[in-house]
Amino acid sequence: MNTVLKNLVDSALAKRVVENEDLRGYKSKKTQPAICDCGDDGDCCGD
Amino acid sequence: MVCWLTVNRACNLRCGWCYAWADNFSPVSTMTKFVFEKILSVTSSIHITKFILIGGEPTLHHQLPAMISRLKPARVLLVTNAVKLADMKYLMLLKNSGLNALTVSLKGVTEEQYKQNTGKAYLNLVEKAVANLNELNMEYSISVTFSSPVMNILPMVIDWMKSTNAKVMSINYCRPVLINGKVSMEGVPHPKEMAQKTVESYQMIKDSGVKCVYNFMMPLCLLPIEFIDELVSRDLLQTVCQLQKNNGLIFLPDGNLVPCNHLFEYHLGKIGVDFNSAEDFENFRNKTEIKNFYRKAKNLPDIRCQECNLKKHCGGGCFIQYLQYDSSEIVVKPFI
Repeated sequence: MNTVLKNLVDSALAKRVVENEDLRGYKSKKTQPAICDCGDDGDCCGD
Repeated sequence: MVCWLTVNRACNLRCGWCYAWADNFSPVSTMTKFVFEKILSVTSSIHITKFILIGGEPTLHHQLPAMISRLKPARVLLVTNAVKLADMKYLMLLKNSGLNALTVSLKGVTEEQYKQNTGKAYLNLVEKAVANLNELNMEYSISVTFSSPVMNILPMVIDWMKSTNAKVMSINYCRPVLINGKVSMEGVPHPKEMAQKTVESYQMIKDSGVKCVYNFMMPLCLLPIEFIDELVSRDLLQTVCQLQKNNGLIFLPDGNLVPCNHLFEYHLGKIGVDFNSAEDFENFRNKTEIKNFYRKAKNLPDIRCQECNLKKHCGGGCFIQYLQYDSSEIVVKPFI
């Protein structure tokens, strides 16, 4: 992997500074998953 | 767990913003049967509920119907520009192979726009494809990416949805892309601008009767809380990506595992090199460096997020934004 890319990504990740609990996210049942959204059944909710 | 299979990089369009440019849409970058079977083998001990087939343009892969059949009984979805689905026989073949649903990526709503954005005047084929999807009563949604030009033609997009009888639209938000090791922001509006346009256009979309789902992978505090409540109450909001939840696997045509479709040059590991069996793959996913990568992606970008009531639904949004911005530029204030 090229080091420029690795450094860029690592630097963006380094900005995630605060520990977080597991994420849930809102999930709509009206659409289909696309390039990014997980659309995984079971552990997403809209509460 | 959801698994994305990037089955190829070849495409029949040439969209200016596409990440496949970096690979020059190479027809050589096509997933072979060997790699496909190897992916199924190494992931066999993981419960994968959905496979999402993407590209390039997956309908150009000659083995696509056979791949779909092979992936059953999991749910199989296709992300496509739909050009090839103007051929009803081909669409029926995919349906009969077990395809469950599709996301159609829309590139323009007039033939002129379509040609300008993709290099091809294929909107008429997409419209035929949508008519075919309606005729076969297939599950699909139309995906539109909020970029600088698209934000300003939303009324036209809505008119197109109504004229083609497409019922569900999803809005995705443009993010920085990495080209030759540099962050490119061409055509990518500022997150605050995209959030503002989202709110401004909402009533017009609601009044049209088109259901629009917002894949809002930016900090939620860019939106008013009343607006978030409205979207949630109408089941129109999606947040948090697979990377933040560590519940997705994304494989490239050559068997490389990547953390995100936008980071296709950031290889976490490769089939045949870093893992060769289901046991290897489990050990690989448990490696400290891999676990740390996903742990950091889940973390919050700003100390203020810690007190936010919506932090589990947001997580600060897609971390790709932070290639360009610091949290002080896009995190507004916590919801308390």
